[in-house]
Amino acid sequence: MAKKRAAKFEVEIEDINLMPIMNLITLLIPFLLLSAQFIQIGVILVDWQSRARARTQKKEDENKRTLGLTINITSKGYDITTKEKGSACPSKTANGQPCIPVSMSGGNKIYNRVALRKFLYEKFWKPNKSNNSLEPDKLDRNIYSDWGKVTIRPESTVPYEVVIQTLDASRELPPEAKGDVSGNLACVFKKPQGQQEWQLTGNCMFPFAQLAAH
Amino acid sequence: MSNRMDSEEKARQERIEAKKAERREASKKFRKDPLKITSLMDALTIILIFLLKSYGSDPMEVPQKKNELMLPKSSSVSNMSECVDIQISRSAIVVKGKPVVKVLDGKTLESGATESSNPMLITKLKVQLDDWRKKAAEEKKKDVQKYEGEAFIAADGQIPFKIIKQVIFTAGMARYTRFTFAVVKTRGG
Repeated sequence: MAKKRAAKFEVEIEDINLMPIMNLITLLIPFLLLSAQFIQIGVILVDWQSRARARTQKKEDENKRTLGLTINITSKGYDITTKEKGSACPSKTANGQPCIPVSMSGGNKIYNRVALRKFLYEKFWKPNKSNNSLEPDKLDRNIYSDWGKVTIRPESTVPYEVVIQTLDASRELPPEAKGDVSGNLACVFKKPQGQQEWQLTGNCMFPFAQLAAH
Repeated sequence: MSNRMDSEEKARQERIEAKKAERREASKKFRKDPLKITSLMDALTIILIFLLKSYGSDPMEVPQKKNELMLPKSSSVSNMSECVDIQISRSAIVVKGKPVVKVLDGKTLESGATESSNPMLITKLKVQLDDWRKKAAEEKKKDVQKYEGEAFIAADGQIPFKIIKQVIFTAGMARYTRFTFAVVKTRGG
């Protein structure tokens, strides 16, 4: 009995053979590298004007002022108008010029989106920001019933890329606005899981874009 | 002369034997002390996890191709959600991976693509979108007549707005009320 207890077994533990796993991983990596998307795709929300008008008819019929901000993208440049006052740059319009003309570079037309963003900020957003807000609980106090909305009206020949740049320029505040708002200048639409409607977060200029035919 | 040759041959044989012995030693040493691959395994596992994460992060993929479908860049940081995707490349309009209408020279639609009475309405596209909207309404158990769809449009940056306008109008006729444009993010979020 004593002999049995004294008997010792030496068990030699061998290292795990990692080679098969290594082979598998090495095969998986090239496959995943080929199918992986390194570019991040984002979205821009837009409405088609006729539909948007029908949906917001009730709100805009209230006894409030309407800004009716419209950006016309023509072959000559950006022409900005409002329902309230007409052309945003009457002197230029009188001479048949757009508010922000295109420039030519290497035979291509360059639309100045930086100037457009600054123009919208200085002419419309900054003078009216104290009396208007995009926060849901402050909407009733807004002077303009359509605050935050913009209609983009591109000509048929305008490239889609320019439309996207215009949407960017009207949605986001320029760097000059840093002192006017708290937090960063990003304007984000988020769709919570399982919900139908998008929610707006961040600091935005005119985020509710509608596209219309010229 | 032959003695000298024998000694040279002997020396050569000895050198070969010594090399063989050296190799045997190295082999024994390798067997005793195998290559350490644990750190390599760690690195590969991290790469694998990163790739798997990027593989399944977006609900929809937009395959980009030069001179065919290159999305415009945007400062937007909003992420996409699941909905019907319409791709407008320089050669075709594709709904959920199925080509519907041809685009000629990246500028105009093929002849007969639109209705003669309404040049804004793309007939084949409307049929496809109607089908997808019905399917979506049935999946979500909602009234097919009242259900309003959401379309995700991924178009090449150089496509003229006229085609985008026709697609949006047609989608609107098929009761798609909200549109999201796909863009390449220029900043994270």
